[in-house]
Amino acid sequence: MTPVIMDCTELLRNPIRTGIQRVVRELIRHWPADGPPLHVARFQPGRPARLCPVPASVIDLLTDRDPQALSLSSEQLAALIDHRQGLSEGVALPEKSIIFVPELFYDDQRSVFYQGLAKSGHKDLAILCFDFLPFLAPNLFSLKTAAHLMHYIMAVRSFTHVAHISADTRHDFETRIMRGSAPAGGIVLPLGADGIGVERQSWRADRRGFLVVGSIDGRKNQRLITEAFTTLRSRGHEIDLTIIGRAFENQDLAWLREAERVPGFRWIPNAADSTIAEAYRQVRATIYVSGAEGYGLPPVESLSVGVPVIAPAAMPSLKGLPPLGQIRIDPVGVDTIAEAMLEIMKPGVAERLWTEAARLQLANWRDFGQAAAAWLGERCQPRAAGPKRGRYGSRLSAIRRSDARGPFRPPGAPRDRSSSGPASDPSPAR
Amino acid sequence: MGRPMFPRNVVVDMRCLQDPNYATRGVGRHALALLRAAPGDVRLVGLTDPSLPPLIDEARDYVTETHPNAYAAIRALDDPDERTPFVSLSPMTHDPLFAARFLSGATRLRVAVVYDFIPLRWPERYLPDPTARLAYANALRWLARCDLFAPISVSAGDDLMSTLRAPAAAIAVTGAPLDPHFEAPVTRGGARRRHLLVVGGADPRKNPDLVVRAHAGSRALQEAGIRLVVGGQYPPAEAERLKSIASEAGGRPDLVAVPGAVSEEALVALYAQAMAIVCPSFDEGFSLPVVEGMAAGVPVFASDIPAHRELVRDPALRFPPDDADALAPLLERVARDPAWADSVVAGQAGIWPRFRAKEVGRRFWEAVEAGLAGRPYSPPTARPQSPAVARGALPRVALLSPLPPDRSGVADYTAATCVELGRMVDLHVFSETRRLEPVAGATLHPFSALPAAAAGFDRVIHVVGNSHFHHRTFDTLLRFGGAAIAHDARMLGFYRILLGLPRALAAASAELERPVPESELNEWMADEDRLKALFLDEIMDAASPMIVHSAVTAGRLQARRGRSPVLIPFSVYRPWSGTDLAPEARAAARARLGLAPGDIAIVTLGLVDASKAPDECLWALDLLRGWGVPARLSFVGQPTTPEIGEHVQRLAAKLGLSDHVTFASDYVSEAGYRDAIAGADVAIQLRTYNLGGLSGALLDCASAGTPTVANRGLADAIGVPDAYVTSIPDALSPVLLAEAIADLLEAQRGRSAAAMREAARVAFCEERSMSTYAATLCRSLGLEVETRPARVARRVA
Repeated sequence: MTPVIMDCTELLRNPIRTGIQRVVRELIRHWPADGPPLHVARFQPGRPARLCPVPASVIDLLTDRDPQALSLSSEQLAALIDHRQGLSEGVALPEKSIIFVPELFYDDQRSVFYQGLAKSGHKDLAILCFDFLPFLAPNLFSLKTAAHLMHYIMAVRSFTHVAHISADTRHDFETRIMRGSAPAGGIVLPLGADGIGVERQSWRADRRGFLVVGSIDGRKNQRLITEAFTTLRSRGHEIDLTIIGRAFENQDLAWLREAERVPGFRWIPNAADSTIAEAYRQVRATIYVSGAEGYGLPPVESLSVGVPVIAPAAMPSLKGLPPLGQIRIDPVGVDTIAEAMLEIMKPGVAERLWTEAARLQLANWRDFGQAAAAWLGERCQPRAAGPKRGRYGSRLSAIRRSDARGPFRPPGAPRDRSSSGPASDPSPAR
Repeated sequence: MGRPMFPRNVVVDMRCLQDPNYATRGVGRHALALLRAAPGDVRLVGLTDPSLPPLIDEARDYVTETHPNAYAAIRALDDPDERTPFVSLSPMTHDPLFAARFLSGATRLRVAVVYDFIPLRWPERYLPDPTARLAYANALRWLARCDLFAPISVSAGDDLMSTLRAPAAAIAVTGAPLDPHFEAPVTRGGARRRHLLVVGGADPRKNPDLVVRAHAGSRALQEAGIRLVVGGQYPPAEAERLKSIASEAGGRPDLVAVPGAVSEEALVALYAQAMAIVCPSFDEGFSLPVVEGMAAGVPVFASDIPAHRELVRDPALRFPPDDADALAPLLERVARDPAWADSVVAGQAGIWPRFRAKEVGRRFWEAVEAGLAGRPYSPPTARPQSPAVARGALPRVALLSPLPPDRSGVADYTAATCVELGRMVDLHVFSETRRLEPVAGATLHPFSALPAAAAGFDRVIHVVGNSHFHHRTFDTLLRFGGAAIAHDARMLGFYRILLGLPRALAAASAELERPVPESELNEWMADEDRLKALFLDEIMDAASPMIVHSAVTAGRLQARRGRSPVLIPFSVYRPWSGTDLAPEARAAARARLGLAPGDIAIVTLGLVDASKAPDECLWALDLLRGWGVPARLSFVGQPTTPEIGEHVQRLAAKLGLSDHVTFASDYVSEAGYRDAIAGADVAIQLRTYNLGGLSGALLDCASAGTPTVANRGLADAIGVPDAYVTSIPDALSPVLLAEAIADLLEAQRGRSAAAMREAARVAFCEERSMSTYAATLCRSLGLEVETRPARVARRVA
C-alpha cells in the first residue's frame, strides 16, 4: 500500500488545540491502524525546498501520547517540538508516496512548492479544503484584499486529489473556484463531533442559560445574540447568556462591555476546559449563528453531548443531518434569535429538543480519520472499493510491530463507533 | 433733514482685532471704541482672516456673524445691489486684496479708519526694501478707493489730502479714544508729584533720548534728584543704553528709571505721580500720551510736530524734537514752579474731553451716516441675482482650473464643463496650465488671483483636487473665497507633499479633534485605506458653496460637519456618439489594439498604482484563463512609479501571463484611451480604499456602455447603471472579480442584451449630460440662467 506523507507544518509551528490544528491532530490521532502507512512531515524551505520527516517523539507530543504535552502551553510545546526535531531527523520519507496536505494555511512558500511538484509531474497530491470564505466573503474577515492569499487558490487548483470538510465547501470549490473547469464530485470528509471533553448531558427543567462558544471575530454574530438576550431580559425573561471566546484585536467591543452590565450575562475570554464543561452542565441550549462557515463544529459538538442548538438553517455541518435537537433560523437576526430563545424556554419544547438530540447519530473523529485514510488509499489504488471499517485491519499488526521510529503508530485499537470520543481529549472548539 | 436710514448690515474688516501686533494696542483700542459706539440698529458683520488668530473676545461680542473671506460675506448678505457699507478698521496694516471685493464696488460706501502716513516720511526705517515699498504703495492705492476717511487727527487728514488727494468733504477727523482710567478722579491732581514721565516705545521715532539728555544736562534737576521715568516696553539693554546717554550727558544714570512693561494700573499711577508728561516724538498720527496726561491733570510738553500742534496748542509748551536745550527749561520750571504747572494744566483742560471714547465713536458713526446720506439707499426689490445680470448681461463667471493639455482628468472635465457652461454665462477661465489650448465656451487667461479677490466677476469657481495642478487655485480659494468644486474625496497627498508636514498635521488634528502624530500620517500615506481624515475642511470653510461630485463624500461631510456640500453628480465629460460605439467602430478599435476576434479584451484604465488593485486584476486574469476564458488584460495608463510598474510586470511573469497582458509604455493618448474603452469586452475599475472617491474612467466606461466591474464604493460614489456595471465588495477578492467578469460576459452576450445595454447607456448619458451639469452648477451658484433662454440661444448662435 502506498504510504502517505502528511504535511503538518503549521501544526508543528503553532501546536494550538483549536481550529484547523485541532483537525490535523485528530487526523493523526485517529489514523486507522490498518490504513496506509502514515509519515508526518514538515516543510523545509530553501533551495530546494523539501518535506522533512518528523521524529516519533514529536508525533507523541502532537497526539498527547507523551503526557508532557498536556501540561505545556502551545508556545512551550512549539519550543519542545523544535528541540526534538533538532535531535532526530526521523525516518527518511518514502520515495513513492501520496502527499497529503491537511492544512496549507495560505502559506505562500508551501503553495508555490506544491504547484512546483504538480508541474513536475507528481500525480499523487492530495489536499483537504476547509473553506474558501476569505475569497468569497472577504468582508467577513476584515480583509482589505484577498490577493495576497491567491497562491493558496493556485496551489489547490494544482492538486490531483481534493477533499472537503462539507458539501458547501465542495460546492464553492467546484462552481466558484474551478467554475466547472475540473471534474465534479470531490469527496466530503465530515469532521468529528465528539471533540469536546464534556460528558453527555441530560435534561433538567432548571436549565435556563444559553451558551455561545467561539472567538469574537466579527463573523460569528455574538453581537446579535447579545442584543436578542438584552431584549428578552428587558422584557422580563429570566434567562442567562454566557459567551466563551477570545476577541480579535480589530473588534470594537463596546457592545460587549455594555452587555456586561446586564444581569445574567457573562463573557469569558479565556476559559479553561473545566469552565467550559461546567457551562455545558448549566445550559438549556447553545447558540451558534456564524455568518459564514466552512463546516461549523460547535453546533454538532453541542448536539453530540446532548445539548440542543440554535443555528442558521444554512450551517454546513447541520445540512446533512435530520433537524433533531435544533432550532434552525433564517434569516439570522436579533428577532429570529430572540424568537428561537423564547421557543426553547418553553418547557415542552425544550424537553422535546433534548430528547431528539439524544437520538442523533453524529460522525466522530475516528470516522473522519478512517474516511480520510480510505480516501487516500483509494486514490492510490483506484481498483479498491469505497471505505469500510477495518478494511485495513490486516495492516494494523504489521504497523504495530514496526520500529518506533518508523511510520506513525496509532494509539491503540479502534474504538466502537458509538463511542463519544476519547475522554482524554481536552480540546473543545473555541 | 432727518437721520438717514442705515442699511441693516455694516461689514467690518476685523483683522486688526485678530492680529496680536495690533489687537491690544492703540489700533485695537481705537477699533473697539468704534465698534462699541455703533448705533443700535446696525448689525455688524465681521470679515476675519482664518490665517490669523481668532478674534479677541471683546471684539467677538460686537459682531453678529463673521465670514472667512469677502466672497463668503457678500454671498451671505442679502445685498445684490452692493449697498452694504464697508468699514476697514486698519487698512494699511493688512493685505488690502483680502477685502478688495468690498473695496472694488463703487456703489457701496467704503469707509477707512486712518491712523497715519509715518512710513512715507520715514521710509528708511519702515519701508526698508522694494517689497515693503511696493506693498505700502499698493495699500495706498486700495485706500484711495474709499469714499470716506476717518483719520485720528487733523494732521493725518492733511496727509490724506496731500498724499491721496482725498477731498476735504471725504474726511471726518474722529480723534483717538482716551482710556477712561486716566480720567478717574483718584488720579487727578491729588497725588504727590515725584518724577518726569516720558511714554515711549521700542521705536526710535518716540525719541526718549532727547528727554534723557535734557534731564541729564540740567544741573537743577540732577541736584534736586528728580527722576526721569521712561515708560514703554523697553528691554533691559535699551534701559542700559538710556542710562549711558544720561552718563554721557553729565547726569546720574540712577535717576533714569526704565520700568519696562507695566500694568495699566501701574501706568496710570506713573501718570498720576508725574510732574509733567513729555512727548518728544519725531512723528505721530495722534499722541495718546498727550491727552492721557491732560486727562490725568498733569502738564504736557510735546515736540513741535503736526500731530502735537493740534493738541498742545501753546507753542511755548512745545520744543523741537532734536533740541534738548529747548526742552530743559520747561522741565526745570515745572519742577520748581507749581503755580506755573497748575496754570499749564488749566490751560490744557479743555482739550482732552473731546477724546473720550464715546465722543470719538459718535463722530465716526455720524460721519458714516452722513456719507450714506449722499448715497440714497434702495431697498431690495425683485431683482436678478447678480450685478452683471442686473445690467442686462450674462453673468460673468471666473473659473480657476487646470485645462488641457495638462495631463489631468480634472483638466478634461473642466474643458467639457466650459462648453456647456459657456452657453449660460460669460465664462472666463484662469489657468496655471502652460500653452493653453483653446476651449469652447470660455475666454482663457493666465492664472491670476485677481478674479477671486476683486469684484469684476459675479461668481468665482475654484476647481480643486489632490494634485499639483491645483496649488495656486487652492491658495486663492483659501485667501479670497469663492465657490469650489472639490474633485477628490481626500486631499492627503496635496497637504502632505505640497503644503508640507506641519500643515498636514495641523489640518488632520483639527479635523479629528485630537493630535495626529507624524507616524499616523505616514501610515495613511502608505495605505490610504487607513486614512481617517479627508483634509477637506479648509476647502469647505472657505467655499461658498462647496460642490462635490460624490454622494459618499457629501454624506461623510454631512455626517461630520452637520451641513452638506452641494452634490452635483459626476457627469459625462467624454461623450460618445452612436457612430463611436457602432459595432464596426468597436471592431476597428479592437483591430487597432491588435486584438484577435476571439480575444476577450479586459481593460483597466488610469495610472497604474497599488491603490487601483493591479495585483487583483492579474490574479483574476489567471483565474479566468484557468476557467477557459481567452482573456487578455490591458493596463491603459502608466505606472505611478517605476517600482509599481516593475512589480506588476514581475507578477504577470510569475503567473505566466506575460503574453496575455499589455502595459502602456507612455502617456496614453486620447485616441488610444477611447479605443481601449470602445474595444474592450469588459473594463475593471477598482480602488483599495473607499472614501467616496471618483473615477473618471469608470464614468467613461459607463457612458460608453462598456460592461464594467467596479468595487461598490466607487460605483456608489458615481452612481453608475447596474444594467452593465457590476459592483463587487470593497474588500477585494480576485475570485469575486473573476467571477463577476465571467458572469458579466455571459449576461451581456447576445443581441437582446446589447439592446438593453444601449438603452440603459442612453438614459444614463442623458441624465448625466454636461448641459444638465452646467445648469445645476449655475443654480447652485444662485444664477438663475434658465430664465434667460433668449440670451442663451443668442450666445450659442
